[in-house]
Amino acid sequence: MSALGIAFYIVFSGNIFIQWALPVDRKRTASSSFINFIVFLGTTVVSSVLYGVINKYCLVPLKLETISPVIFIAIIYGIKSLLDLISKEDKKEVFEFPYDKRVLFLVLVLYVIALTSYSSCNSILELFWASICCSIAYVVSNDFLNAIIERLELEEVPENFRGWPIRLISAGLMALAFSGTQACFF
Amino acid sequence: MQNNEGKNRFLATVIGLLPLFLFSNSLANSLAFGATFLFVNTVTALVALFFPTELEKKYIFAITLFSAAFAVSISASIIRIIDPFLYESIYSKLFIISFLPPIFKLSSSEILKRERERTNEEMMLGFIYSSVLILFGTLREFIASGTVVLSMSTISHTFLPIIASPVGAFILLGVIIAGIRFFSKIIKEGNE
Repeated sequence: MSALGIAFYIVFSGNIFIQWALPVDRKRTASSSFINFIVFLGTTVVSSVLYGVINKYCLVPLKLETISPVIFIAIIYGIKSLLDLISKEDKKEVFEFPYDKRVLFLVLVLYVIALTSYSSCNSILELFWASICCSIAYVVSNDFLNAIIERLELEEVPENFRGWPIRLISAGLMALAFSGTQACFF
Repeated sequence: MQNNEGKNRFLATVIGLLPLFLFSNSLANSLAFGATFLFVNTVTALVALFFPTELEKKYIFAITLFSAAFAVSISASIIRIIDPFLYESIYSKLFIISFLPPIFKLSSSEILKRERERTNEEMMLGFIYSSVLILFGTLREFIASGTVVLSMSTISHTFLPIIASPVGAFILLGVIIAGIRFFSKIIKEGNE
């Protein structure tokens, strides 16, 4: 698949925001600042490429795919240790792994991005590109839904639909638009 | 007040399990997801309860998290033996159970001592969440195909196929939550 094909497929057909139901990041963890976004992008690319390579060259040939979640947690711990090592001069941890709920949610997002990239690519270069497309598509879709919700707050939504119900229905309508595009091209 | 807190916690957990609600579009796969969630939830809670509080928190968290991942692996292997076709269609989705917020919350329940006391309760609630998941999957299959079958290979969504897709899951769950709010309000008003 060409680079443009991968990008198009991942943004519209395999958008993790819609396909994996991740519209829960109300605080926009990954896109709250430019630095956060860059850290998110970097972590995504490293974890996805490592996960893809280990899966393709070790786990699948040995028929050990079932231990892939364990491997991914090991990768995340490895990245965290590396980040801590880099920021050692500041004498503070980059993030406190067990305590920061936003980071815990991001681990789920990172895993889903790694899975999606791995399932749609064959080479390391494709993995690299797919993980970038996947994370940008996720951040943009999440911000898009948050903007819709902010706009809906100005409307008179029935009381029972306020909060999560309207958020889920809006996500469903967004998913419908994505499905339409998917049906046209794939 | 306590009732409201309980409702909010239940809703927060349901939202945390949103990916599983999205994937459960038939009785067969919702059974697989429900059973795996119950197994992982129980293992994680037991491991979190087993370790002494004197041990450093981050080690307990790491051990519990790895246990959750191992529990998913074991569950996936069992499903692979029972029904290879079902395993092939759901295995990548099954693995995310160890990364879902409710499991993470159990893994990090060492943060506060009172959270640890709640772990026992959460373990029991795991059964209710699994049942809700299976009910939701069965309901989606019934609406989408007009019937409920246990075999994945015989399912054909011909009645209202949109309900079997992610779009249907989002909308159905939103409507169900709004409906529950509406009826609980009516019951509350009736009691007063």
